[in-house]
Amino acid sequence: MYQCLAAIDIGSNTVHLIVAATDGAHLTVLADESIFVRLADGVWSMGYITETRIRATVDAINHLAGVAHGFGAERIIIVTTEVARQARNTSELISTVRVMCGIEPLVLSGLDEATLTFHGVTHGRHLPSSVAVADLGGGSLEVIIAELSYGTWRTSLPLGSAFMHERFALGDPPLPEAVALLRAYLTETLAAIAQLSRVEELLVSGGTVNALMRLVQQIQGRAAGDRVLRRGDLDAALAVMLAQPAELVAAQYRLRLERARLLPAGTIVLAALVDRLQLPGILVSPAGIREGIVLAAAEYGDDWLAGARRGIDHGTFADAQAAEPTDDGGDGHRRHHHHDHPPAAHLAMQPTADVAWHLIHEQAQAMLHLRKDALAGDGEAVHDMRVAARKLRTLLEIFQPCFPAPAARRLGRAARKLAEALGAVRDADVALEGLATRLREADPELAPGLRYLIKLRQAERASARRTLRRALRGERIDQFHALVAQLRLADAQRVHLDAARLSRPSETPPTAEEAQHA
Amino acid sequence: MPEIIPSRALRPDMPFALAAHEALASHLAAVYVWAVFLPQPDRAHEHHQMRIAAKRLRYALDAFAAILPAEIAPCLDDLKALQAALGTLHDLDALFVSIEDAMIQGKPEPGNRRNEADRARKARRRHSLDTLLGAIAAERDAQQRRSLALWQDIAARDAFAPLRHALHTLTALPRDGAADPTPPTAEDLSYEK
Repeated sequence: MYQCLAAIDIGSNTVHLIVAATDGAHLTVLADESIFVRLADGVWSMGYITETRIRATVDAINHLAGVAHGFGAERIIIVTTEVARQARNTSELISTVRVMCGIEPLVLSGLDEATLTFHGVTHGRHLPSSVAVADLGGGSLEVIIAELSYGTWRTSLPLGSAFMHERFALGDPPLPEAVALLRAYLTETLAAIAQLSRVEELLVSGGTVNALMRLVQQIQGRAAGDRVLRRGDLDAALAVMLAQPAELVAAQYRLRLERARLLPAGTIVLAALVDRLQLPGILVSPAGIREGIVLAAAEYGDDWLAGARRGIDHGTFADAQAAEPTDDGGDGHRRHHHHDHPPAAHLAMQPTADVAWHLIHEQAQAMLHLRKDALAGDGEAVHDMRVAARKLRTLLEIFQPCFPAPAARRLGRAARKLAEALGAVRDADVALEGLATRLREADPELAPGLRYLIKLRQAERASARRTLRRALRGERIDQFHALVAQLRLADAQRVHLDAARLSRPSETPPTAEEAQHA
Repeated sequence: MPEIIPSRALRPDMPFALAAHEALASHLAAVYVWAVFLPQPDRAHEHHQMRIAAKRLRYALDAFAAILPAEIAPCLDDLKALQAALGTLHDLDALFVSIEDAMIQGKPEPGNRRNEADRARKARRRHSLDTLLGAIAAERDAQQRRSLALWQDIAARDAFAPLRHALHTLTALPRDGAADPTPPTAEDLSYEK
């Protein structure tokens, strides 16, 4: 039976929510949001969480819990990790959240954190015979090594990006001496990671590695769906970050400033881990601990944490994998659901429907990311957002057969309206620029006509800007989010129906509801 | 008005590479279809449609970039150049229309009492717009010839051959029915064949 569950993770940098529909074997993320609160500010140096950060965390949780309720979440689980393990006043954080938000957060041990991350990251994946799964957070680095899907070794090390940044006073941009010290420290510390056999793949989750992936995609001109970080990519990204302050990196590569500040430390930790495991690179997973919590809660109910622990202690990872609908349905195409893009090498053979949603979602996010700057009147942001909206429309047109027609059409119409509103402002901007150039260079005889055209165009632009402001504010943009969510739900229904179809003997006809969706 | 070559049915369960082939082949074909009208200076609507087709092809190439070979990079450069040339052409068309609109809006109403200075100012403006209209029309003609020359150069070099070859390679994957053993040529895609 499918349940709608939510998990909120209070990390060292962010408070992060996912809402997902799951039956414990399949999982479809309905919402994925995070808020930067920097809870760990001062914890590494002073040892306690400040009152300001606790208040910011409570506000973030209340907001995210509202989002979860909006999606109809039946249960919200809140956990906290390294920062709560380290701070002297953790009880103050816990009691404040309990009183102000009505839910008591659970402080996870490092090993529980590693276990749940493993559940979340490996869900729905084919694993090689030997794999390492890591979660790099702000406070800690969790690593699990599994062989033939059996967890064989796990650890939690205090090597999170925020902790390393603060402890080694990296500076902004990072100082070469501080970087050298951090590298030497990591080489020594990571020697603790056992190498029972050669690990074939390293899967990493967490905000740091996902932000790094976005940075590398831009630096190296890689596709948005690429989830592979090669060792050379880490060096290339670090070179960019060492050469300029975080503010410039954030602006140039559209990262959160807070994230850009911590990214050099995180990149150095990841590079050291790759070197320790002697691997060519990293597979980046957008899924992690929160997905692991939701899956465990769906599978084990109130006893979710103990159930997840039993999973690793009794070596039942193999059972968890077998429960996945990995049957190829006789047509050679795998049907189970992925959270992420498969690596590029396998992408060509993936069923189109499995890839379509991710491309559309990423394009919609890229477009919405520009909203604030476009709203503030930044002409380039208006142009970029218009291009992003057009790209989104093209994707919706191409992949329309992958979704129920009404959901794709509604989103397509909304994207068209947005593109038109953005286009009206952009066209007026370009026309005015052209007319101004002509006026500077033109024969005096043409000046009265050009001035009149400029006046008319300015009035048009003012009107177009008002229309655009309405289109980018409040209700309209909420509607757009809702349409994206509806398309997501439609995609989720398709995945669940595919799974149901595969698990049913072939002679059983589809139900009326399935036929309608098909 | 020609019919755009429709995309063969894209199915949700087909491998992503085949979906790429279906989508990109039809978008590429659309560029060739509208290109038929480029030699005709007065087909502004069709020139604009060609620009849109080129733009959509670029967006589609972006979507499937992860599975396309690096060899298609020069095609993208040609496509960008074509899109820019047609964009300038469209900007001139839009300016032409806005001047015509301005002339209509600025026309004095019959019987309207206006002072002489105002009348003279409006007349100067009208004359100015009229002259500007002629100048823009000439610019537009020149830009249409430049766009045509660019397209003819692309066609003469068969500049999109690497893209067609890449699309053909995508069809080498297992699929229903036999795959076409030879990649299509520019002529196969041309509406005029």
